[in-house]
Amino acid sequence: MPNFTLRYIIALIIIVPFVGVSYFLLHSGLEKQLSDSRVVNIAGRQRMLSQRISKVSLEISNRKDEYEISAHRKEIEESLALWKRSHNGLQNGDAELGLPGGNSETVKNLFATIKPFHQIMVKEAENIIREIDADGSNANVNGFTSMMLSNEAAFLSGMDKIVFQYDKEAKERVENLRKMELILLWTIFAVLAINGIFILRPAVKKLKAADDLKNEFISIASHQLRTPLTGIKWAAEQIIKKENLSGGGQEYMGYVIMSIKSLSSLIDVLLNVSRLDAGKISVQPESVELVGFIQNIIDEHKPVRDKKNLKVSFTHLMEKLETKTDKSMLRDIIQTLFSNAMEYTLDGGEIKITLKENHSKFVFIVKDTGIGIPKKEQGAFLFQKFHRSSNAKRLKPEGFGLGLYIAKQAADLLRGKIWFESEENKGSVFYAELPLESKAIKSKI
Amino acid sequence: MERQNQKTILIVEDETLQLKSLSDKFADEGFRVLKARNGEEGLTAALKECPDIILLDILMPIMDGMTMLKNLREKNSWGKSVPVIMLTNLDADDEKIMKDIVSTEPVYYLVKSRWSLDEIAEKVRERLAESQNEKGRRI
Repeated sequence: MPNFTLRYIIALIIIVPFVGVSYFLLHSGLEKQLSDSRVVNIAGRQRMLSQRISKVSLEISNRKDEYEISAHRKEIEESLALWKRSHNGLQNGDAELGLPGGNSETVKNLFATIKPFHQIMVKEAENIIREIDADGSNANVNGFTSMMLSNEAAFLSGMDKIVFQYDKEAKERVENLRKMELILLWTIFAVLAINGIFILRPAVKKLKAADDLKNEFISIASHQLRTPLTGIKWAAEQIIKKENLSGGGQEYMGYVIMSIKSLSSLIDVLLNVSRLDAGKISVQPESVELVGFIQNIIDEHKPVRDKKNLKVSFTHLMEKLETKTDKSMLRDIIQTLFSNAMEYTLDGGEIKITLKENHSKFVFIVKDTGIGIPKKEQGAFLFQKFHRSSNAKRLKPEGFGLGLYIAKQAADLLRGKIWFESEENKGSVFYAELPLESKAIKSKI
Repeated sequence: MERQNQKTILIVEDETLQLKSLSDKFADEGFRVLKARNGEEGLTAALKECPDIILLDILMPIMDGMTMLKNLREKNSWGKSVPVIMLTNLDADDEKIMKDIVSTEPVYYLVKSRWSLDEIAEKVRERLAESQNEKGRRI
């Protein structure tokens, strides 16, 4: 027998590192992308900064008044500081700017190529600032400026190459990330498929086998129970008819037959449920005259009716109503609704049964003055297997909660409907609407 | 006249109490009752006495009801047409039994635990009347 807990734990052990690794990979991939975009951005800004420094230097050469020069000085100083810092940050990293450093060999080489031009430009810019500080508006910066400008072109073209290289590398990384994502996705699919094959499928199979076994058991047990019961029932029928019993004897035998009938119908119920669960049910329509059929079921319950002193009426506008339906399913529905009404109506209560024809359908209605169903417990779940309302359990603790389940299943199979209206302590009305002609359904097995 | 009208019923049933109840019931109903406790006995009795109708249990030792029915139907023209009511406590939806029963018409089957003796007697009379009509039509 496969140990599912162990398999499940193994599956978890496989999945957890996968999820961990994929989380880490995706996270670091995203981080990398973020820093890549910053690097490209800042590298681009370096071009702009160097151009601004050159431009401002040129403007200082064509100086006008003192105020303008001091503004230019300030601008060149600020730009220079940022330019220098970024240049250093791009190569060696700068946490504050969000630069990781650690360039590829290609980028390092490119930085080495522009290094002399950068150094000269920095030096000349510093010279211009120093000159302005020394001579104010009389400062002569022409030499520095032309020196700077003659190096700018080389710096810019080098920087262009660096930006281009950064961009290329970032793209490659995104490509790799995509590939990794794809591999990860497929791996997860594979793990899920393996889980399904080795854990889910055998587990479901095992459950199904257990369920089949249960149904088989109920079926065999019910059959074995029926055999002796039939003998007892028929013998009891003979005794009550043939032997000259005293009044007391007659009464006893009446109860014996009643008990046998209820035991027999309980076995039928169990068999029905096991067949429903196994999908082993078929609809076999045959001619049924409804008025007589319902009257028969009502008559069968006469002993209970008399014992509880219930008033039972059966209203039908038509004298006869011919239908083609599955007899045993019809019986399940009518019997359940009627016997429930008798069961849950207190002594001396009233039950009204009505049969109506409605186009190609008929409606069977059972109205009682019974204990009803608490408002909170009214819902489709009333028709679920083994479900019983709380007040029903209090009144009759030994019920199974299978009647309405079977009736609902039967109504579904006949393509009909069952529903109810109820008020606690006032009574319930149950409706069953079924087609006059049912279609045959073959059993699945 | 009375004697000629008396119908003979063969009851094949292994369970003692059921066999007794059924045979007493049909004796009360005025039938001549033949009893058999398994398919083999049943087949012998049937071929020898040619009853008007047969009540046949399905699950029995030595020879089960299905086998006996098959043998009976294949034996001769009387065996082919005699009405048979299969008695079972198996279920109506047992597909295998349904198929076997359909392939060896004409039969009727009923689930024992759901039927009272009166209902079975009524069903027997019904089947007898039907087979009488069929014979009439054939002639």
